[in-house]
Amino acid sequence: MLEKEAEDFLEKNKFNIVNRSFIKNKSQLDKVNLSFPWVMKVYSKSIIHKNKHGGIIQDINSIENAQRSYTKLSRLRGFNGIIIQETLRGQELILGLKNTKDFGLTILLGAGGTNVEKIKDVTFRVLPISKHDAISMINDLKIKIINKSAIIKNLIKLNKLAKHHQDIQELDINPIIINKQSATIVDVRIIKS
Amino acid sequence: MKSFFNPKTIAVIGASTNPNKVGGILMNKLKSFSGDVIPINPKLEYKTVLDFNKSIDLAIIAVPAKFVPNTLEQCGKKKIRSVIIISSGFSEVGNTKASKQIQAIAKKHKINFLGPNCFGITNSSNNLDTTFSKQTPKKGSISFISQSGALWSYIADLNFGFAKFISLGNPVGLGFTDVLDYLRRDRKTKSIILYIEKISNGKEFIKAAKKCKKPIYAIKAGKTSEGIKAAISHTGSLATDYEIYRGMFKQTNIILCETIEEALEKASKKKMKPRGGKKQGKFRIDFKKDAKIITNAGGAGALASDYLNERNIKTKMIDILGTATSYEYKKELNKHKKDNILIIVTPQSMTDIDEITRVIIDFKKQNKKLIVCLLGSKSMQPSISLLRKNKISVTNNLRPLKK
Repeated sequence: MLEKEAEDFLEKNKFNIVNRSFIKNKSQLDKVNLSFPWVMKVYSKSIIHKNKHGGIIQDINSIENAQRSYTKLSRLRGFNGIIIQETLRGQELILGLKNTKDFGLTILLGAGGTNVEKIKDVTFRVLPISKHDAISMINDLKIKIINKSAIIKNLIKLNKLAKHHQDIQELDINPIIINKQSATIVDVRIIKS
Repeated sequence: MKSFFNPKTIAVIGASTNPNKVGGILMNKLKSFSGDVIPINPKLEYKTVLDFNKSIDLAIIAVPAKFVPNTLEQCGKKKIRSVIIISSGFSEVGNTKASKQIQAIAKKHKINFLGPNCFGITNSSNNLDTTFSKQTPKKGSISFISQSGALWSYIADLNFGFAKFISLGNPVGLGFTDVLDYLRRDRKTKSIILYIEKISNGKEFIKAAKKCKKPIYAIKAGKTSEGIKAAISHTGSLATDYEIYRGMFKQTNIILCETIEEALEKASKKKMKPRGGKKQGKFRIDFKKDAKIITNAGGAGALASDYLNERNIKTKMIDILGTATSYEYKKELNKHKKDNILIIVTPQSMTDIDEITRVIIDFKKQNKKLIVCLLGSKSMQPSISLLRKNKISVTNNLRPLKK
């Protein structure tokens, strides 16, 4: 499932997703009603690692800048459109689901961002989890989470989502950006069987 | 599982009068058992279990792998419901077809079985010991379930008290879930130690562990195994086996221990005595890149491998099996005259420790890059002193290998 579809799927399941637009034509840029700065990401069926292929441009502050960025992204091989998102600031975390042979679906919480594999501040539980498990996951991490209740809610929501969608093989929310007020999903990837 | 631990009559199938054969070792071990022990062998009075006309509660099968299905079938006909399959040569050597065959026979006759490739069980309250360890430990309240049988021969050599020991052997017969369910209601068991390589029925295990109100301590081998390298998602590559087990243990209140020694200390609330006092500090690992591990206990080798990997030393384990004598050690050592080597020895029935010690001292003259774990206490002390006299880096437990 591509990012756009995955985000729509989570939104339908009552997750909080960043404000975004999807366009397939440069002229549609004028109608985009999002506050700057923007992030523009290529939408492509063939590009899996967007970041690696220069498929993400950040800190776009004006329409002129957005037009230049559009031209750049549209030249990428496999281009099918562009996702535009508002830029969010806050603590970046990773949430995930992973189906395992021996335990079925497991859930992950950790320090998020582009180099999660290097930081490796993560913790897993086997689903289903209780609220008590969610709290204990937060306590497992070395980083201090600035909005615990928002993360607990998201863990419980994922728990419920997994229950109704047992065909999920892997689900990767990275990052979910949290601040004192909210927790917002900025990027998601889902692999179903 | 009651008839595994409290049988009145035990049949040893493949019994032998030769004290060096598996069937002979078993007969010797069972001499201290208070119930009846019936030897079964085509050369003896009872050729099969069907020739014995009273009932049998527990059968121990120690015949070559190819005869196991037929033997199990006879146990079924004799209405024996509990069977320990000692015989090896099944899925551990890639023979999965035979494993499936015995599974089907057991199902047909409603037989509960441990193994195959099972190291045996012990019950200290009736002096039952069907294992291949040199020593039988004193009575106590700890019970130990292990996916590596040979680890028991190390643990049994130490000064801890045990209620029961269960080797699971290959994961074909009864598993952690079944045994845990029994031990949580066992009055003699006050705490439980698990040595885990892999749990196959995870959800059921979690249920059983949550029901158990006794403290459970677990050692998980395979710590440094990596996640799926080519994983598309971050979650996929972060989901290593060890991380998932670590989380699962938190959910089930199981205390994860880094070493077997830590688990024993926590379960018994007693510190292990460092034998030889300050001399223990002499143990040094003076190689850095890679090492071959030559061991007669797979589980001990797997843990040692984890600890060395944490030191960024790549390892290759050579399991010469519990039946290994000085001959097998010598043969394998001679293949690795230029390698960095860790030798692990656990005190099992067939282990000729004095001879192995001599082999090690001889080998040291040709290969300086050698460290040794003689795992145990009672059986190992003279050899440890002798190796130290010969300036060989040696320890009697696995903990010094850890960073």
